[in-house]
Amino acid sequence: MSHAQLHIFGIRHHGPGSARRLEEALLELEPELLCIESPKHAQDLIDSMDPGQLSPPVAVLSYPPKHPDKGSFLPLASFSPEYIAWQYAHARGIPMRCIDLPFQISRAEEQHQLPLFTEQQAVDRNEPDPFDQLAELAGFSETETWWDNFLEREQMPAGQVFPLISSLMHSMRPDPLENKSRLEEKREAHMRLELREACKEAGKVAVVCGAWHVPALEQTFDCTIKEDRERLKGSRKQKVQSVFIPWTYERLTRWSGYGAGISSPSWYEYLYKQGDDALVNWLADAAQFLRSEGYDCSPASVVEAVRFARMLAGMRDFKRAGLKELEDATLTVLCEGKQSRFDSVYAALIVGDAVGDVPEQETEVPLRKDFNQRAKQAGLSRYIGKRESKERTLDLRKEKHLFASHLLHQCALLGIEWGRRLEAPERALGSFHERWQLDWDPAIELNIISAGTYGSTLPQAASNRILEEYRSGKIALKVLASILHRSLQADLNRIIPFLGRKLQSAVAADQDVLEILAGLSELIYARRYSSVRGFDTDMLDEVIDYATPRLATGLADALRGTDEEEARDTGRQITALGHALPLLGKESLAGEWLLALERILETRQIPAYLRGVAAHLLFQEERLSPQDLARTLAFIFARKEHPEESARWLEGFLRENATLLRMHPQLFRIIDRWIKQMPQEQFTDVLPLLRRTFSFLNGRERELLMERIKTGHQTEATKGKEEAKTGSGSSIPEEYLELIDQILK
Amino acid sequence: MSEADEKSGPPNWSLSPKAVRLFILGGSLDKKRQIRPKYFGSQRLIEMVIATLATDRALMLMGVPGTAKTWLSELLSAAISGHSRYLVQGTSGVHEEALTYGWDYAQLIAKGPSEEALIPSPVMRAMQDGAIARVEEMTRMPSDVQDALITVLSEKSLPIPELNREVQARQGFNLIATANDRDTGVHELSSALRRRFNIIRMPLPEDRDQEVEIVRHRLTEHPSGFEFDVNQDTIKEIERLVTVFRELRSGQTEDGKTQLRTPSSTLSTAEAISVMRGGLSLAMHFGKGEIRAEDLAAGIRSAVVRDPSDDPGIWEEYLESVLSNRKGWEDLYEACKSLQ
Repeated sequence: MSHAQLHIFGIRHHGPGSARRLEEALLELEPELLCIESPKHAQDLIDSMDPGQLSPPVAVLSYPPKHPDKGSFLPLASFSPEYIAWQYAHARGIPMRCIDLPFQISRAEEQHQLPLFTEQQAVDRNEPDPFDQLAELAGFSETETWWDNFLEREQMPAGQVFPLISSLMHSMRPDPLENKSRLEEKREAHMRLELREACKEAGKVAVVCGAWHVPALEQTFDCTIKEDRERLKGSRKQKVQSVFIPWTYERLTRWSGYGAGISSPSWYEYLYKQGDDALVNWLADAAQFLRSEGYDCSPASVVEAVRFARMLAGMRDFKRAGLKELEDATLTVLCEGKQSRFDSVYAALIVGDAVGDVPEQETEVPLRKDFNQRAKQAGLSRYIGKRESKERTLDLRKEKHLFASHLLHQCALLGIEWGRRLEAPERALGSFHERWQLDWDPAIELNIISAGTYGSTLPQAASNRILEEYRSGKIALKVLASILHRSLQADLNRIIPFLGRKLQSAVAADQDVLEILAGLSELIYARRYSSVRGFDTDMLDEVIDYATPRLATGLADALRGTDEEEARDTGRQITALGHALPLLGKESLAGEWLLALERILETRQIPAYLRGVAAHLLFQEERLSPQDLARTLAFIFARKEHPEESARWLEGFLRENATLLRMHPQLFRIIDRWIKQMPQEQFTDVLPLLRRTFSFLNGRERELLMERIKTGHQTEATKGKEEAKTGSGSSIPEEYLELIDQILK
Repeated sequence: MSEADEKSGPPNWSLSPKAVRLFILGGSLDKKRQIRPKYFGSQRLIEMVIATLATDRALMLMGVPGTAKTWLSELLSAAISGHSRYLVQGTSGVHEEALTYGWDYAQLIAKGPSEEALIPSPVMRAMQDGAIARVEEMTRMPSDVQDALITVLSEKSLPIPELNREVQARQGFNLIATANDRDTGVHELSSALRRRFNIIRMPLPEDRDQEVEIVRHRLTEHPSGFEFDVNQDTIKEIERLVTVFRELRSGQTEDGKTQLRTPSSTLSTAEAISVMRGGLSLAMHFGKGEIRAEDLAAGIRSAVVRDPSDDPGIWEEYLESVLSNRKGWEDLYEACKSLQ
């Protein structure tokens, strides 16, 4: 049994019920020394910090300086019993010991990488969770529900609950020294040795540990030091650094530091702070929240909700309403049974959007070290801290340059604005070159520190940030495609499968053809990038093969009635896709695409600008012969009553390419004739449009075109003279020529 | 059951809330007696429904056809009040009298407004008895008629100005309404009325087997007495039909491997039943008596394709990407294909 000096309190990690009972028990006991089940390497950090300076949720991030990617997070919320114990020790001025096995022995031998935020932390026990069995015996389907019922709902006084936990655990661990996992055995041996030391120092020692460990720690003086040292054998030491980083409630739901996350941090905070009043206060806040979102939710409905929750609790044989009743009452009474409303209440008040804050610390965040190290490896160190901007061209075939490119892309994804890409991404793709402009701003230091909350290496932090941002909710295909492309460029291979799955469901779910249009070209570039870099492209191929025909069949219909303003954006997207699709080298897809373009060209309800864009692409792909094009043009320009429409068509057609006009005199003549034949007032109307059409020309192109017009005019003029003799024909007025001159200027 | 019921319920309830739950979901009453389950579905939902009736708010069961809204409201009323007689059937022709009270005109003319001339509505009777009143298809009633319930539900009293008195509801009175949220031509509840209801959405059956069982059950036991002989082959067809409906409804195949687009149609269990009935009748009267894929294909297509712009494409996509590759489904695929 327990030694007279040792008072062991078995708790549930992040359990507000445990926190309250622990507070009570500590006040009653008045220990002279406190021990908590936290790894020993965190001791220095904890000693150096006043818990009042932290605003939870926070986490201790520990990592071996040599391998920042192999670290561990230990989150603390304001209702975590460990945090309560720490506050108590600090207020009373008594020492607090972290007694768990330090990182250097336990994790280092497992050699696992710090998992990403979506992956649940590996549970230390491989065996079926004994608590699951306990929960099942008590008739609960989930362990969390059992805990919730046992510790959070029943408000047994501390004097009863801790002995009850101890005897429950004893019944589950008939031989307390035996452990299925070697690691668990080591941890408990380590804790016992630490407890022996602690007992030498102080008369009354309080121990706060997970319920499971209670029986083993009660054996502290029943097994010898020698035996425990034997159990610890084979551990090696490694240097570890720890630092506090801000944490969020949202992350706590997935990552509590002890196996699975806890599902309702914000509700737990209410429970911890308000005890019996939590239900009423929570429901009142939920009603307030709903009102602030613009929903009808009267104070009377809060009363109804409270009664409803209590009624349900009664029917379910509980003395008090707990989380389940709270959820049911909120959904049914406050949210009118609407799931979407409930979801927003759930996110705001059951999970909560709290973000922690930490003061400045001596130890720098590991991400900063990783950043320096990578910059050095990439040969970019000399640009760090330099204010003046430098341009760098990277050749991705060189390993060092590729590494630098990855680094800069990772920084960009993390909001560390160091490098800026100079070319438009699609143009650079044909080559292996990337041009970057490097600019060091002092704010970058701060950016790195705040990015440090996502992880301890750049790839890991960038991956986590993407995961956190895009984990839930519906994301536009375009955004997903761009994130995927950027992730590929940043070499974040661990999240590619996740993004792939998101992408597949986005394509399947998205009924909107224009969404696909917006995202598809980016996807094609991403596919091209991954094939160039030798990645697996199957997943992307599948998505592209599925999306392209859907786009091709629906595009012409979807574009009907687009207004002229949107048309410009859409035109850009169509052009981008027109350039991207041939890169795939898939005949059938390209064929369907050209058919779609033809349909666009022929559909009168589509804005003229877009029809022009389609004509351009078809002409470029030689699907439209110069003769066909001339016919189409003649047809478009024959409609004299709508000169703006023709001008818009022309604008779409000529986008960025005046050479067409110079190369094909026939086209030139048709357009020339159209302009000449226009009545004065119409001409003034379309003049601004025409100016815009030709505004992209550079000086040299303008000169060439002008010359062409002049010579054209001269031949026409000479012809005109000849015809004048016969009394017919026309000539262009001189002032038109001036006007044309204006257009081109 | 009420003899075995030891716990007390709200006033005028013939069973305690827990016993109501047992009555509906089934289980063992005591060591010897078993109660047969009458509704297949989640316990949580039933608890929320019962808890609502025990509070001041009325209950609104909302859901697509075939989710057993009416059945559940009958069960609740029977368990709580001992019978389910106080029923108002909502249609667009219903007048306020159906929810409040009417007059016997012969008496009215003879004696003027008097107790004898008053004809109480089912709702008013339920108030006087402290029992459960039911309103079916609430949203089919015109909004101004619906609003007659506002005072009844919030004040628990019904004024009769003609007689200068009011009917106070006895404790235990409450109201269960049902409504269909996918139909057109309905009248939304006003927000004042909505506040007096807890709205519970009735889910579609959770798994395929449950849904198949419901369809089978409804084919063999039909109130009209027009029953079908359901043999093994028919059950196979029910399974296929329910699978198609479920896949299109949820937007993915049952194995979760392929994502699908969902059509605009409801594809409720009730529709599956009616497609099955149609198919069986075809087979019985025009075919060989055995149901075959051809007998179902047209019914399935017309249930799926509602909106002529998108649905045909979605259905074709489903045919080509899912049905065409499914082993043993060739006949159904061919039958559907030949209709295109």
